[in-house]
Amino acid sequence: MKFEFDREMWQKALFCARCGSCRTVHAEQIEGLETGLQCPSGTNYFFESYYPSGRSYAAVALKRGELEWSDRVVDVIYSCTTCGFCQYTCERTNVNKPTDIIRWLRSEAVEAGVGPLPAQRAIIQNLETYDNPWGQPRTRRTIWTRGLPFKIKDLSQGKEKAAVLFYPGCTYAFDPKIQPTLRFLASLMQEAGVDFGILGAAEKCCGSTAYNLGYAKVLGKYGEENIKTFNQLGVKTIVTPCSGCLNTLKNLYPQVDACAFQVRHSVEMLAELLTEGRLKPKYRIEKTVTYHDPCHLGRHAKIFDAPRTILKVIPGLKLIEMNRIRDYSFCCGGGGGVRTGKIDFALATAERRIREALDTGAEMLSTACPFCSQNFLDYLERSGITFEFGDVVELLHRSVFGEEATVKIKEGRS
Amino acid sequence: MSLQEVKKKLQDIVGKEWVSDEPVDLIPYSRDLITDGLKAYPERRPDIVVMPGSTIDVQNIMRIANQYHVPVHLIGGGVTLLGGSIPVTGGITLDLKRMKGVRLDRENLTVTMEPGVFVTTLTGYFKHLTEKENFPWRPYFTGAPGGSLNNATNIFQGINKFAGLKYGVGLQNIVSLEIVLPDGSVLNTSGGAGLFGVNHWMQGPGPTLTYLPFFALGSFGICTKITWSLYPMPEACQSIWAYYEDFEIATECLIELLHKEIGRGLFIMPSWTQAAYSAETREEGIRLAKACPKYMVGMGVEGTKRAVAFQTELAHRIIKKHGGRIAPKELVEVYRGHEQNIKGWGQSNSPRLMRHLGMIMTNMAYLSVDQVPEYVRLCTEGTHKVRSYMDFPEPNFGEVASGPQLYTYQWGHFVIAEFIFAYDHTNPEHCKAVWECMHNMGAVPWKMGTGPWTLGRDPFVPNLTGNFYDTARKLKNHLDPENIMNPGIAFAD
Amino acid sequence: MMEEKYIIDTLKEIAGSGQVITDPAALERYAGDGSFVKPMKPLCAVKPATVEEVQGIVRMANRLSIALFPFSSGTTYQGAHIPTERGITVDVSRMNRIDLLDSVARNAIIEPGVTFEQLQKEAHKVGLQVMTPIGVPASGSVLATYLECTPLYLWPRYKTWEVLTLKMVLPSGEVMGTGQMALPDSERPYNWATNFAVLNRLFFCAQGTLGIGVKAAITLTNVPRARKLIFIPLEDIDRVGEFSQRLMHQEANDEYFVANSLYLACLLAEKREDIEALRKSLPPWTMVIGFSGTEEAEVAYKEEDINDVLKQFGLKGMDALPGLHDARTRLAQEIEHPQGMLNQRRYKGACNYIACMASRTQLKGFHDLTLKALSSRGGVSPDLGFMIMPLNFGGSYYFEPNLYHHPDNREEHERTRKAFLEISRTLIHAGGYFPRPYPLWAEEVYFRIGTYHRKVKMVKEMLDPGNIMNPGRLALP
Repeated sequence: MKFEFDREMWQKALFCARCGSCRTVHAEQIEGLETGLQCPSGTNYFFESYYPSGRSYAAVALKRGELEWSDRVVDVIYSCTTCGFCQYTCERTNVNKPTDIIRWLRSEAVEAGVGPLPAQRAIIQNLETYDNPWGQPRTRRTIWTRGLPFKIKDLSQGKEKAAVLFYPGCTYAFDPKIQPTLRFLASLMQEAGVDFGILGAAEKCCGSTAYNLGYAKVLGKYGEENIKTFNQLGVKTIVTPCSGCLNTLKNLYPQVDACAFQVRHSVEMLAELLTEGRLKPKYRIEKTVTYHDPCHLGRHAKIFDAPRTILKVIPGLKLIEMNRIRDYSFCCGGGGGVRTGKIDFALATAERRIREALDTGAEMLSTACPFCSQNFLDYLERSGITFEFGDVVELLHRSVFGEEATVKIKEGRS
Repeated sequence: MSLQEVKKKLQDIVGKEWVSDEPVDLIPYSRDLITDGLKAYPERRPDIVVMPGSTIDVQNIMRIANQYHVPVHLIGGGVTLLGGSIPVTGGITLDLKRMKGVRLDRENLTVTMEPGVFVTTLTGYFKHLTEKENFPWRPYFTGAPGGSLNNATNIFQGINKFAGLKYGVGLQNIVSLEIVLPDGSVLNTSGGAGLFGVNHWMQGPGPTLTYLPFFALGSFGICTKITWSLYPMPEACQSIWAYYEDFEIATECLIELLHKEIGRGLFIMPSWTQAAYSAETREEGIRLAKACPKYMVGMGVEGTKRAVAFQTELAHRIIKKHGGRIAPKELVEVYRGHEQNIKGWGQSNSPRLMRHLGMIMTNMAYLSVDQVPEYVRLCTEGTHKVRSYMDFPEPNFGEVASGPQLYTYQWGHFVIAEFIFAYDHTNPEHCKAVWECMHNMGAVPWKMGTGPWTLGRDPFVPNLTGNFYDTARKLKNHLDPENIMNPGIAFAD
Repeated sequence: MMEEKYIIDTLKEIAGSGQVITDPAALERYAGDGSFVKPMKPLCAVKPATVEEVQGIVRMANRLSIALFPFSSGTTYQGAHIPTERGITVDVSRMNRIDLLDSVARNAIIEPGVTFEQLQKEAHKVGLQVMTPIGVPASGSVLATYLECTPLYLWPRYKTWEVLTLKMVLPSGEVMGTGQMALPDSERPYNWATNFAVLNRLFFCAQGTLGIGVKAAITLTNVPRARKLIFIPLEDIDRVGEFSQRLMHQEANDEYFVANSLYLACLLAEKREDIEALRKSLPPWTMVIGFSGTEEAEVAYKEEDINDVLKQFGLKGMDALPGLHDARTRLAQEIEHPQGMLNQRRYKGACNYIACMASRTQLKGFHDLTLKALSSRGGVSPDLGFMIMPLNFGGSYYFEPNLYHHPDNREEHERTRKAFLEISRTLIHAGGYFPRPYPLWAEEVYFRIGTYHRKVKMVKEMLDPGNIMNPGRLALP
């Protein structure tokens, strides 16, 4: 079976009443002036065309032959982080599916040969050449395993078996700034006695970046290949720290072929291990922390409580919530290919979210997503703002193993 | 001067990134659901869209437009769906969303905002003030979530459904405006402009010009600031829902409630709209509509705890006296779609009415409360005559997709009755049926009291209001001799 | 003289020969109103009975370029209707029909000659009452009083929306309705919003310069089944703003005003001779709060809600006033059938008020400025009464100094006149808001808001190109 976007998706766009629900958080859920600024691209660009409603109108116009492809149209379509807030809220209000419509528009742009944005085309070329969107040699996929004080099973040949396939995803694996999260995770799983293994250099991209850019065929290709690999290897459970991978493996792959495995996010697993007493956070972290719900983990996968459970069990740590959380969390700006294609917009969005985080009075911002981490860290570095950042997994590791051990793991010096 | 030259001048004023003539940017301003489907008004793109960031930007843009005779249209949130923002003559569309200033005046108990402030933005702002800063005052308004509090809900609609009983229609809550006139000059009305200590008085000095632009859809100028009254944030709040099968009996109950002068909002709704507002999904809405009696009397009661206790008990007594059935607690939870409105946090779930079939049409009349049953009878007859409408297959019309609503204002001194029905605007048969229904209902409100939903450009309207249209038109001509402000919309050209 | 005869003859044809007044003694009534505007008798006065007659008069005025000065009851006392020498006073007091008394919607449709007394009597028959003004007697015109935004006792509860719709004879002679009254077929023209624009409030505080009001739909309220008035003594008004916002937040009050001892004594004393003694026995200031309900339980809870706040400030509401044990009854009577300015005038024969608005923090300052302006004139100052009405939940305040003097004493009269002007000027320049720019204030008020004034002028020129309607008002030519 091939993966395809719904050809009639644009029909739903006819029902956009431009009520504004997609731009705002419902009154019963929120307080604060940022209530009306929920759409990252609309908030940044202001033109109607950059709001979900405007894109719905563009979809109708394209289909009716009233609008021709142009650089501006492509810019409008690809200036969306696919945070999904519009779809979440529109589904509760009307029948429109704005995020799906945007993805459909992107697939149309790809088919017409006009999309994606020039900088984003590199992603697809990289996938073709390296099986990862970041253009890194395959062998670098396992750099993160170096210096760990234990060996991780290699499941790729079918000789070693494990209960859990740990699927790090491309972004964590290839970005040195956030690679340590993988080491922390592995260390925690090892400590908890989880029987896990990896595919190592044989791991391929899940295809989610391609999907978000409108390359349905590329997603289909990776879906088929990965499903075949997982099924053949007898994988029953996949744990991944990347929400993009989570949603792709869990929600999109079943549309491609039959999947004999279940998919979980690492924070779900960690929360369970804590509840079962298999991980014991004993070192105090005296910090007030605010947690950012990543769009793909929170709104798309509906995982809100697990990361909070983790943070709350850490002794000394105080969790303060921002105004916009959970289903109505505001995007970090890092999704939808925006970091690759429109870095200024991505960082402007990060700034908005960081200011909201700073307003809580927290000392540290935490999250559980590679794209959010990248975007926040990037903004903090460029802006020079003093605000600590710590992945949920890192904070847990510090509490379970202590500061010194965590630094060693981080630096691969075990 | 060519449009390209005008574009260059506009770019010089606001910056290149805030001016566009790209088709994809113009299209969203060219249509809404009333141009689709019913084709009530034609689609038309502006030639240029501009996003000013301040009153000075707006002034400079208006000077250019005036100088080069370029029509100017405007859009706030664009949620009113009556074609008010669609640039009939092309020209410039001013999108005011960048202007998001909010200024609270704690001493005078007013809040002033720019046109890019949405309904929900202000709701969030005041919730924050109430809960975090112990500032127990807020404005009352309702509207679709993305509605601008300048151009749509007030200047156009003026409806304030859930607080209208106590606080009147929207414009009765407005004290002053800052308006950029077509020639680019700025006018501050009433106590605005900060020249006086008082800014919370809407009259004068002498004649008041504050309310001139209301319902005029920007024909007189562009409102760049609007000042609202603040009201007490109550200690307690309570909703009351009661069922009735018969609209006339529900109205009798409502009249007695009105005479007691209790509550903040009081209305009658057909079960289908109540269900649609409340349900998370369309299917749930239909199920709920069919499970409930035909009409609901809804009431929001607020004040001190004693006030709420007294008013609730009194309301219950009256409702029961008229044979109404108070909704059980578990069903009140279901009506959560309206609860926020009942509590006074003005965000309408009206988009959910769209979800029913795609679009809604409403025939609206401003009446005296005892005229309403007759109005409803006439409208129901007018609709039921149209077999093609009544016989649509599930999820149908007739029973679960049309019906009267009644909202009360200023303690019942006047009311607004609405006959509201859903239709699928992508279905030509539906649209045809709707036109027939509207035609059948056409004469009713003119005799009994028209709502503001008809526009000057509708051909029959100017004749029906006698000298009022002429006087308003003269005023328009004086303020806008070049007729550049939203031409062809509120006034016939 | 030929022209004058022609005018009078034409007016007689329009309104009937008995309805044109030329007798100089009878014309005195229209010449002055106790204000400091120079009295002037009109050429004549005409008393139309119908809208058509009014139209006829206006058309004639346009043809002959004669100024018209609308007059209903002359009870604004600020000289707004005082004519020019060759002007014609249009006295609409004969137009006193109550077209409709709607007990369901609780509205009335009235003509301009309907007085508070008249309407109150009819309204009571159906269990309703009219909202009465604090400074205008019951013989005053309801429509004119409302159009001039004269403060009403019930403004603190109902705000200022007592007029729903209007019918005006415009300076052109055309008839125009506002709101639903614009629809000729509308059976109950109550909603004051309509299409294209909202013009109602153009005609308020316009002093008849933009047209003659010939009909209005107005709101009535319930005659309460239960009601109470309480009096809270105050030493000063330093914290009136704070009290008011907190008290009004409870949303329990109907009437709400603050008066100094002189004003209150004048208002409530049974006889003129009692005023001086009462003035001395009353506290320096009294806050008056009224509340009511459709049953006793409603009044009871409102009283508790009000007392909750009074206690917080260490205040106490009394049933009576020192020197006036039946204050409640007296005030209730006054509210129902006001004497207003007539009571204020009893004290010395003349009383002149200044209609200003202040913010919460300006109140004390304005009071002090008023006293200072008074004392700066030297000599014996006129007596000062004050009435303050918190409005919009204490977001704004009607601030009204009243100056009392003996009108026959030329020197005192002149001193009071100068004091009146001095205080007015001081308040205007201190940022006081004057919503009703009567002749003695208009120049100064509009000087501060030139742009707005130009637009008022534009509206005037548009509606009255011949400048026949009360010319010279609103600082217009």
